[in-house]
Amino acid sequence: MKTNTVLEMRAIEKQFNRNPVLKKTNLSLRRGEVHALMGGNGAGKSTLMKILTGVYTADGGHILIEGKPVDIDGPKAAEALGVAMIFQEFSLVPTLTVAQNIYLNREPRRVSGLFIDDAELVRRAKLILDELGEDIDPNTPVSRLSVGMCQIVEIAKALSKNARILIMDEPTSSISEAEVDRLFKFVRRLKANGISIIYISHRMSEIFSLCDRVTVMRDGENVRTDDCAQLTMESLIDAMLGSSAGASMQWQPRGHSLGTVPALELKGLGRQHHFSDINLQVFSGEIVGLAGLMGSGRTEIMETVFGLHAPSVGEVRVNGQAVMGIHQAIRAGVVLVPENRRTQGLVLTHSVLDNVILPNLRLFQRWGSVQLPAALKVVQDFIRSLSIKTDHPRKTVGLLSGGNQQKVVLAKWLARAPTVLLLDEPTIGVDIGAKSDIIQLVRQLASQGTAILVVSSEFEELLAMSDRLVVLRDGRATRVLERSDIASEEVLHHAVQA
Amino acid sequence: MKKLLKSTEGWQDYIVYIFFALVVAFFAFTIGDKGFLTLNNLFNITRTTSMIVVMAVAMTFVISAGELDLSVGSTAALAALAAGLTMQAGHGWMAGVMVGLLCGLAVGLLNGFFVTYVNIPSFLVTLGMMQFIRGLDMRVTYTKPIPIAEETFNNLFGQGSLGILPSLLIWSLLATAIGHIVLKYTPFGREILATGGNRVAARYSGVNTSRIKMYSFLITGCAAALAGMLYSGMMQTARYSFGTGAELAAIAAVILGGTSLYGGKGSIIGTFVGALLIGTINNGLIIMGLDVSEQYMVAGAIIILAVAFGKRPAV
Repeated sequence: MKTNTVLEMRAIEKQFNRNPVLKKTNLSLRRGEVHALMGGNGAGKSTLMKILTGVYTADGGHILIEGKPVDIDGPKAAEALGVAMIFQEFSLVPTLTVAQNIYLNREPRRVSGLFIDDAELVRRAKLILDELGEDIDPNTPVSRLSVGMCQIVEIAKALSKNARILIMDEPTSSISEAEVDRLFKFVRRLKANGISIIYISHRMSEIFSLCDRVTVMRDGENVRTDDCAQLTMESLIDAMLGSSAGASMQWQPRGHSLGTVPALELKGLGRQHHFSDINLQVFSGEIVGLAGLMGSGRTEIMETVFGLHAPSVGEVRVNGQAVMGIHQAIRAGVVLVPENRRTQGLVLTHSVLDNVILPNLRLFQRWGSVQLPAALKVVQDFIRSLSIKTDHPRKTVGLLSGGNQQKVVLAKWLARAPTVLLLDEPTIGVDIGAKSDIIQLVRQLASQGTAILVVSSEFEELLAMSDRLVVLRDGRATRVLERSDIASEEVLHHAVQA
Repeated sequence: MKKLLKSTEGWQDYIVYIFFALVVAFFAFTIGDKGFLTLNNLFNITRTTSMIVVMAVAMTFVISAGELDLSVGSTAALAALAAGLTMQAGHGWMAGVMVGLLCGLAVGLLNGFFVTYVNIPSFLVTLGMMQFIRGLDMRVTYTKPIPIAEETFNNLFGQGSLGILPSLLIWSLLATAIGHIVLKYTPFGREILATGGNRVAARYSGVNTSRIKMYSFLITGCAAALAGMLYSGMMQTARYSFGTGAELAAIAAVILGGTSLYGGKGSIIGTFVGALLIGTINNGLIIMGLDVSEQYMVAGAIIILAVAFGKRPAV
């Protein structure tokens, strides 16, 4: 049994400015195991991983690799011991080829090391990729690969340096469903080859389909380590949040009545090459989910309703009035929380305050100038009511965690008391605590009469919120399902894929 | 310890004030007795930097919006020549000023059009525009200077004063005050910063970012024209060579003042002090008796140092 354990981290301690971040944390990893590491933001996951990869040094505890105590005093030492982190933000050079990236700075040489031996470089890269069962041409520039393929190349690079322990941090947060399947197959092959993987993700369904064991951390302590088979989604959420919060992911039948006229109506809406003939009504107080794979036209529909793109046919009506273009849409009370908060939702270098007031400058304007004290008060109210964790309204928004950033994007638009709220992946990359906060908030807004249209790749989340689901495929609405008719997640999966 | 760190957080934003104080103190000690500290010399510094101040204030808007305008120097000369020719033809100073400002607006409109609608990077558009306009400046009078005989014009823009305050200083204070209020307190100013900080996010927040960029080029065009009036009022002549290299001095003043070259962050007061810093260094070095060649070298080195000290560690 002992030899089967490739990594043991025992009683790891770490503090920053006398704040203990890790309190005697343990983690053990078996050969050929995919081990999920879970916990909310601030649980200590990333600190633990930074100690393992030599970015930080532990204040106490031991690390054993293959049963031998080791001293990881820097990233080089971690690499030599076969530990590699596959980064969330990719560290490949887009203009270089796959082979050049894999052997960057370690290129085979010829003529006494004067020139790079390109033929040998390509041959070696091909060998590695073949071994991994991946059919990628080593001469392809990385810029032409999809995000999912880049991850595979990055893993190939790590394996070419003899890595035995891989750390994957949210590897599926920006890739399509088809690529997720490919990546999972790839990970299972790695597993069969005896590579051990520490897998960090907020997505429950992935954990259950891919991982063997789970370690849950909370406030720097181990809460639970168990075989996946022993856990249910609710018990996992409860372990992470330390309460019976798992219930927030359960669907709750609507307790309020709907408006009589549709707040949002799409009539034969179409946009060339993206989607066509979309007919949809969302009543005030209703939450409608758009279920479809990436590329099914869901984001394009949202952006067209918001007026960022002009439809080629059909129209958007808000409370019976036709609306065209973003300015009319915003004035009519249509707002969009976009798919990517970092590039579309926020000016990351600006403060929380500046971001929240940006779409609302005219609301706070008096005699030509923005009334900052009034704006500050509104923003402080949102920080309280949405429980946004920030030391100050003037803190740079880029320094907040993903979940808190997402709440800031919501606050931007809630300040206008919207009639129609469009949510595109509202909980992508946010931890479970913020996720349940956001789901609760959406329910509350609906009960106050907002019409809500939501897109999400996570079916469990769509099922937790929506009263009605529209299934999208290749830009067309193929089915409409009442929530009460959907018995399980499998039904929705089936409807979306078949 | 944490508290101390917090209170000193962001000191880099004030580097221009620290540098300005250091430079003034240095000159006061070394050449204070050679006339550096006289009221006359101090006014002289503000007079000679006023055109840079006016252009740099406008440049702060363009840079904050994530763009650049290299054409301000040659546009200043164009506006001066247009105003000079109009006055020479006997249409009076008001018509002259109007024609000059219209020239500036026209250049701004062209720059804005190419940047926002043809989608060419502003660095290239305005680099080409700088050359084109400078050529036009030389072509208009075949490089001959145009004397300006309008007393009112010369007093208003260059020679005159209000009490003890030289009119050139008043213009630069006025530009700074208006610029500060507009950038800091109006919706327009905040939309400029948001556009420069993240154009996509600004668009998704309902900001018409193309219009914002267009306006910022109209502002630099207008400010360049005003600077042209100031040059010609001070010299009582319009010359094709006005404002040569002024675009670089203006950009240096903006960056010294703490505005981010990448957009999204701007300070007009910083820009004003940045321009004064450059003017003071030049003035002090002249009094110290340095050669023009040496002045260039010292001024260049100080600019690099100030920006290096003011650089924030990457987050």
